[in-house]
Amino acid sequence: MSSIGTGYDLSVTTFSPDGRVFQIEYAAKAVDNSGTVIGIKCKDGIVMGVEKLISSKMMLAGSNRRIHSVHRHSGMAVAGLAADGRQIVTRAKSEATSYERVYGEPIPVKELAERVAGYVHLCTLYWWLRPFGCGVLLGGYDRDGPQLYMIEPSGVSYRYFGAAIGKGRQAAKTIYAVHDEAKDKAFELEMSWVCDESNRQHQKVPDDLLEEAKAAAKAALEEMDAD
Amino acid sequence: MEPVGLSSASSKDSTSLDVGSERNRYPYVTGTSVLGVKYKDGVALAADLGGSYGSTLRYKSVERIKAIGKHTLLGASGEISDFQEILRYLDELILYDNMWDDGNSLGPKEIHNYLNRVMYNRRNKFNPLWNSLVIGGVKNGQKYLGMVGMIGTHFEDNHVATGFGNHLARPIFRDEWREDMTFEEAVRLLEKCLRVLLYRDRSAINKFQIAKITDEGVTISQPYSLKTFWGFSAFKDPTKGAEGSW
Repeated sequence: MSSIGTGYDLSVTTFSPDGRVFQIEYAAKAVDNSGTVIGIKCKDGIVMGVEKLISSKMMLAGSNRRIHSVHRHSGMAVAGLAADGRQIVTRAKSEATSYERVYGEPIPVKELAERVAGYVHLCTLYWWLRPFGCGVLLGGYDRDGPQLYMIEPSGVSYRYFGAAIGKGRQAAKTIYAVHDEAKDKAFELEMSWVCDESNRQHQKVPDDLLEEAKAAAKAALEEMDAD
Repeated sequence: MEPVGLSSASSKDSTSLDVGSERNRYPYVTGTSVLGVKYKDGVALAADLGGSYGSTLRYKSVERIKAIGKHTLLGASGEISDFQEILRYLDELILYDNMWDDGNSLGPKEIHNYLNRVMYNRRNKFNPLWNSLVIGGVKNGQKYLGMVGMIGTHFEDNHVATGFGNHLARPIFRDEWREDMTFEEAVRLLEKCLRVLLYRDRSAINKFQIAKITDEGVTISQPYSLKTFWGFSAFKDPTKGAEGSW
């Protein structure tokens, strides 16, 4: 742990003398320690991938989804405390359907990102609530094209071409490259996309394409190691 | 919180006695019969594209059969705006179903049950959705055809019809429907009934759609017309037997 709050870190409603809110920074630590989540914006869509660290061999493959569809045209990949993530996804779903009910069109991704960010930020304003311990990548395709946003526990939301959160975010070239074979042995790769090919619908990357991508990544890795 | 004023009657409280909260007393823009039959590979629904405003045939491109999700067709007669509202509810239902992304999806039986709950509950509040709904679909090879009325009556059958279709089409169905009809035979049967309805139901127009659903998916035809014949000698001189004043 880098900095010790010493008294200014007991509540999210306390600033430190140098203007930091330590609780929010600690919440960000929860995100940093989780499996890597990567999102990439391409000219015709968004791809998101999650390194799901498997804590027990008994876990059923394909369970514990970390990527959720928020509406037909957008999805969220969650890093950090999974339960907190579920709450954010539920809220996003509800914002998206309520927008459509009122305005008759799918919620623009920018609008959704702002609403989710506002909600996350809300929970950093009251002493009786704790900040969300998860960061979220929100990828969607609306009439302004594909867009990728990242929302951090502080409630900050930016738009990205490529974003990564979690353990391997520094080394995020391919998920296999950031995976630390020594410390975290087993993991499952979950990937989703929303693009022209998927009819602008957010869905899991089809299995055969996923296998192809995994094989290509492994091959590329070996080439890299061979140099 | 201090009580505001003396009156406790809130206009939002629909259980208070004197509030005439929205009560659907009569329909305004209505669609006429919807017909449905099961056939060998699936289910076929037929309806015309008319929306009547009382006795005026006002709207002539009202699509009264819609696909719901992957497995179901919904046809409605009665108040068109209520049908549109039902489609909105179902849209959200299907959206949430899709977002689970778990390989499962709502089939016609589930949709039928859901609509039954909605219709019956609205009826109990004296605020019905003024529709007769036909739900048809195929899921995992199982064909399904059912109906829900505005008072919440619901049932399943091999052939259904709403409105005037109950009187004019169902007798034909009872005589001529068979389990192993091909799609072409089913269409012929439906067209026969549609023609009878066109002749005899004043709110029917000569512009129809036939929708079919099989395990492969939904197809709704483009609107088309049936040939009709009005040259019966009895029509030529209608007052021949009884001269009247007009």
